[in-house]
Amino acid sequence: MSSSSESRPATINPLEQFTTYPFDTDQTYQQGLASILAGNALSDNSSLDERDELLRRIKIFYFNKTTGNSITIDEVKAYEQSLNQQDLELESLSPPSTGPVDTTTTVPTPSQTNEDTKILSFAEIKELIEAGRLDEIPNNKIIPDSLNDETPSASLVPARKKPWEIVSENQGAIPQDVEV
Amino acid sequence: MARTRPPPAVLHTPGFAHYALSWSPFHTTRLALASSANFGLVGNGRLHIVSVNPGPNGTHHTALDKYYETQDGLFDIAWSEIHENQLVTASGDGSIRLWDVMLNDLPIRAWQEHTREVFSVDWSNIKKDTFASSSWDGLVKLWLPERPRSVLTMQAHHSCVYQALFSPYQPDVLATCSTDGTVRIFDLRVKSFAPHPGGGTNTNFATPLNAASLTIPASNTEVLSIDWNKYRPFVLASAGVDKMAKVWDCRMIKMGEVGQVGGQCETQLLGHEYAIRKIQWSPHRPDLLATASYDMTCRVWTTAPNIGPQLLYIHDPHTEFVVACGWSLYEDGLLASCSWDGRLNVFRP
Repeated sequence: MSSSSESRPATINPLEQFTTYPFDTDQTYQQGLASILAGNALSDNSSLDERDELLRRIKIFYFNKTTGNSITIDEVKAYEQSLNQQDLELESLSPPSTGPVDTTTTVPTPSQTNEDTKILSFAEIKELIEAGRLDEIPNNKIIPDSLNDETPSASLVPARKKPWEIVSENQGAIPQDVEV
Repeated sequence: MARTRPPPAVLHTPGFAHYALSWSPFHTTRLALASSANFGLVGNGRLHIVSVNPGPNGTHHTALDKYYETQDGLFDIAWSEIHENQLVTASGDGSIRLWDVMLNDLPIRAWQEHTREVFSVDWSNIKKDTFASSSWDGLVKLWLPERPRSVLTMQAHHSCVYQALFSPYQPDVLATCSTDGTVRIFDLRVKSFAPHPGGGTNTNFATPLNAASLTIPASNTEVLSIDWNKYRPFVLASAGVDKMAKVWDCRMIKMGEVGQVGGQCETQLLGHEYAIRKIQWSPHRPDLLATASYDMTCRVWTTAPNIGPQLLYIHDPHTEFVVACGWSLYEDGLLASCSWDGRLNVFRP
């Protein structure tokens, strides 16, 4: 991952490149997307926002992997807003494909674009801690210690029986060797 | 099991070492992943919500649906058994947080009672409004999500409690394991001494222990993980620093009585080269066990009496400690493992 930024063409803004990237006509992307969607990555109760978010993440992941960039979803959102664009057009759902997909999904992390790009080894982290150089340790930022103001979702799905509960129903209760 | 296996489906979270995984009890393809930056030594935690979907030819593929950032490293997770979108996390700073995966960024509740790392959380499958936590402070606490404070505090051990797990069959029975080398089974209805006023934090190890119904002297060293067999009530598996997985028949226990010592060790599984960090019975079969170890492997074993205890499979693509493994609840035979290498692997042993 860390070497990917070296191959980035310096003259083109990667965010601009991302928004104009031909996802619609990129066969590899379309195949990968179709097989992710065919696998029901978007459950029926996904909201439009969730769907939008997931598609955006898929695109960013693919874009970074293909072009050697390391843009983040926050950068893309900020860029889109700055262009005062409409929401990203939803990808059309092409028919499920059985084309090959890379089975490794690497999560783009925001830290990859910050100064703490490097992923440290256990020994390196231990050394920084022992030297008291905590400010150089990546992923060590202040997270707001507050609760979500939004209303929690309503539960709509009834509890589901576990496999052992189904078996014991079908076969009668499992013998209770212990008096309880 | 000698057929060609497709490669595992992998999700990589660079910079974040995994500590635990948990399959959703509602959605077949959903799991949650608890992780810590910098191997849990210092820095933030991250809760990942992941989809694992079947692909062609028996393959699976993973997708990160979303993640949540936390101040401190995350060590365990448990999905709510009553609300399909909610789950709790256990954190290195002693806090417990409840999340709603339909919301972004922040948790919907937080509790700070444990004074040391919280190592496990477990949601009761029988009393579906209750979950338990266990901590380095030696305490086990019971919680209802809507209550601002814990509803029960037990001094379960005098040292670190790595795991506390509700019985899958008896609503008021809970097992624990500890640095002290024991596994204990508690009847939550039996209180052998008065609870601490307010059920508040307590690190005073002079405090008397809550009396267990049964104490199993499971090992000479730390017991890091336990699990209840899902088909044989009062049979448990334990594992830890002694590198062995052991199966305990505890049917001799007399509930309602306290202070019993025993448990019959019916099986010992040897093979791991370093400590075992996690052990889990299959949700689908009474004889199938998975273990995750500091030797960088995840192993699958059978304890079937007719063929004798045997190693069935070694999963070894991980390049760091394998810290957790978990069987898919609704897809028979699918196993996930996760590691300090930042990789979640999903495969069929």
